[in-house]
Amino acid sequence: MINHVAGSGADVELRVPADGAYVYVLRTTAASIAGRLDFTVDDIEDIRIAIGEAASLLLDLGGTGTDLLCHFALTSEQITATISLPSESPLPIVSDSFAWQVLSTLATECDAGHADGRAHIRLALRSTLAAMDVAPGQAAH
Amino acid sequence: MNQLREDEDVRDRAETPLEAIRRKSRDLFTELGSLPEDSPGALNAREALVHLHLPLVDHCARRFRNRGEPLEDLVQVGTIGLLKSIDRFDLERGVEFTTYATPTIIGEIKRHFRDKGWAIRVPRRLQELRMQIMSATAELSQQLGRSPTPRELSVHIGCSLDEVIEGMASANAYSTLSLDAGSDSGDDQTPRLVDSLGVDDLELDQVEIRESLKPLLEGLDPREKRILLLRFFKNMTQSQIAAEVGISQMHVSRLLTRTLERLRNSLEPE
Repeated sequence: MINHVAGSGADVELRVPADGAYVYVLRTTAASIAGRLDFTVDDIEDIRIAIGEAASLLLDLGGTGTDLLCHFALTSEQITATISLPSESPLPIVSDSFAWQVLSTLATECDAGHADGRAHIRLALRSTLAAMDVAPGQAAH
Repeated sequence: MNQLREDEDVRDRAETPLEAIRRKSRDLFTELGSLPEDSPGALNAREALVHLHLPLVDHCARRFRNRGEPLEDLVQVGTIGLLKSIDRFDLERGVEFTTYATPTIIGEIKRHFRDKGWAIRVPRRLQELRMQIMSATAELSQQLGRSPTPRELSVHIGCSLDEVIEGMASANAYSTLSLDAGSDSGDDQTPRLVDSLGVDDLELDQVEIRESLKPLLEGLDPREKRILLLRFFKNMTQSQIAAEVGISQMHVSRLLTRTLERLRNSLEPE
């Protein structure tokens, strides 16, 4: 169980080529991580979609031949995913765009930024159980 | 009696080297071509050709075993491919029958997998697990008033957490058949699956959609649009939408993914 290991917070980092074909890998990895923490099936499918959307938004900046870096900071109740791509400018986020509407529905919090030559999107994904104030480890009992 | 002996004869020769099979095959095709269609002689020749080439079907089918479908089923659909090949083959093409038939037989087998709805190879064990996960998810959602966690599913089903996570991943590979597609037969009478689903847009009337989005959403089919709006504008969960629309939660997830992908492509600068 990731759960016990992750009590104090664990990190997972994944670097893939900046290519749409690898978005699936990120999606699947995120879903697999969420499944091992106590996220519900709905949460997991939302996370799958959110990671895919965020990664695709970043890929729109171009960046062919570079890399997409996905960092997951885990606690038992929340995954904070930061996906970044080398770029001279930040992602032009229009906060009332459809894409942003999708991300902000799926994630508890989301923002975009630019640091060290990389544009990033950060998604905070909180489990439904945590929101319902159920101790995650006891969910199955 | 004679007929029987002849059939056995053919089967015996199928065991002999390739050359003998090819010669026998050419002879039978020549015979088939020289006789009037549907005459007893032609039917016998056709029958003999089927028996002669059954080992080829078996060989093709074996390449696809351990992919979650019984070998007998694969041999059966492969044999349909063989029959099609025999009926379409023309000696004057100058190619060996086996060269001609192999792609058709394999095509039928692949089609069988496609029609079964599995996009990639998924072992039978995972297919069964997927069914269990689906029914357990529905049951536990009722009980808990929210969707269950994989761990709750594993306790309920009596398997390991890893198996549930594996099973959920395989569910994502299931049924990429479009519900908008009619049947493969090209029969125009077949109603599209989407037509059989009820559409009740009452609750969507209250959803405010920005003007800029409207043309984009117009391009979607009614059900895709509805699911998209329920999720992102009415903030319903995937499970709630599943119950509302009458499909599984996994299917909602796949449809959302597909619709978003399509929207993204249509939004890309020209």
